[in-house]
Amino acid sequence: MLEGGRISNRQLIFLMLFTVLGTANMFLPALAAEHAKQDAWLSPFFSMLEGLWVVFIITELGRRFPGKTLIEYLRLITGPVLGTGLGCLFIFWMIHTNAIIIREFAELIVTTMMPETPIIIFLATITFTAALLVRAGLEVMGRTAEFLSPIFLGTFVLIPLLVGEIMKPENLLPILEKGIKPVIAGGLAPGGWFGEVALLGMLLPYLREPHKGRQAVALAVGVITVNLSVTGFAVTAVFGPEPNLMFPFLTLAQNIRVAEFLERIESLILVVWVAGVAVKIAVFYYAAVLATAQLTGVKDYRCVVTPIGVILTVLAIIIYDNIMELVNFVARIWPFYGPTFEWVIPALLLVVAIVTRKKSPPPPEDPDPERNVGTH
Amino acid sequence: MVLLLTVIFLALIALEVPKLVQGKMWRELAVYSALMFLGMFLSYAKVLRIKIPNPDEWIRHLYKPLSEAVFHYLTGK
Repeated sequence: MLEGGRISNRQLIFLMLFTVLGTANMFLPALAAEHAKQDAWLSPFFSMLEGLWVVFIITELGRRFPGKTLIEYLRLITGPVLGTGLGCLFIFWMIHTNAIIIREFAELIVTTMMPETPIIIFLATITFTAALLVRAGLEVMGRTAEFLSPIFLGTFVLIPLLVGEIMKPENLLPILEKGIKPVIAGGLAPGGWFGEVALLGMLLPYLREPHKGRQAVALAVGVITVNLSVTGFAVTAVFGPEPNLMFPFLTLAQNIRVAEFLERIESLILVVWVAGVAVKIAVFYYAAVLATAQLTGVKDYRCVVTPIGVILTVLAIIIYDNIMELVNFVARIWPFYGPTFEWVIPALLLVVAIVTRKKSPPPPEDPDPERNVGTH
Repeated sequence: MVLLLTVIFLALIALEVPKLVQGKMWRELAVYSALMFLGMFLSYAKVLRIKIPNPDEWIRHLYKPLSEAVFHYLTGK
């Protein structure tokens, strides 16, 4: 077994929260508002359907192949040759997506806070931080997420509350002015983010109670939906249906003025957010590392952490020339590119597994499921 | 830049490879080398401004028709 650690279902919820909210919080309101205008707060509910669908597919696969990760049952279902090919594609997808996330993070910092610093500094440092988390193992990541989540969620609940007095609820009217289609269009890009819970396919076997994985992640999807909807609501209520802002949530934080002394708290928010993004990047990084290790059959996944980190950093630089290309990709291509790997291929796998009646026996009982220390 | 990159890579390799060699983990070493080589290749290509294929561009081309069709249907644009 490559990963000796186990995480609790609560830790899984928090890991998944960070995996989606990490970037969605900052980038979503602008993307949803582009199409949905004043109905941007409704869009996350359509994305939620996609998220729940992904959870259903992945956990159904997990039920058929208990104790196995996506990469392992990929080979069982499609045979060694095709399975390895698909596995490589999945690893590419994880690394590429992670490079996009790292670039998003760095672009946000450079655009809003530190325009003079070369972007490579942020790319390299966040990748390094994530690499440390990945090397420490899944349990440490779980505990980090558990520790950070109250601060993270608290902050993102607090901001819409603090801007309450400058909200203009009439900005939200009329509801569904142009019908439901623009709302769905606004939900497509966030849907790709919700689908990132598909990484569950790599984590499911390392849960203390894998059979309860489905409800845990479904709960995470619910919390994310509410959070994003509230954010969209607050942004529209404050800035109107066409905010024309790159990072509306951050601008929201800049507008907080409470009793003349609580002002300009956006740097504080950014600190919390950076911690959240580090966890998000680490989850993707970990999935890619574990997948690579399983595909190549090495005994210790830590030997691939550094090389993948190097590839991540370089890819994050070379894939886009500027932030507009990045935003364009996230808005137009990602809603289709992401789901291809999040549920289209897994759904096909599930169908093939059902048709060919492939299943794997339950894994041997964990000798000591309560242990807390990893053996890796 | 090239020099700095070389120093960083040498440091990374010096930190990890001896452990792998001592443990006789040849498979791990092979995987490590292959991926590290890829990473180094991309880094040097970027620093030396050699044109390298960008996988992101392929993906953009691949998904563009679908994306345009769906967004046209949903928003009429």
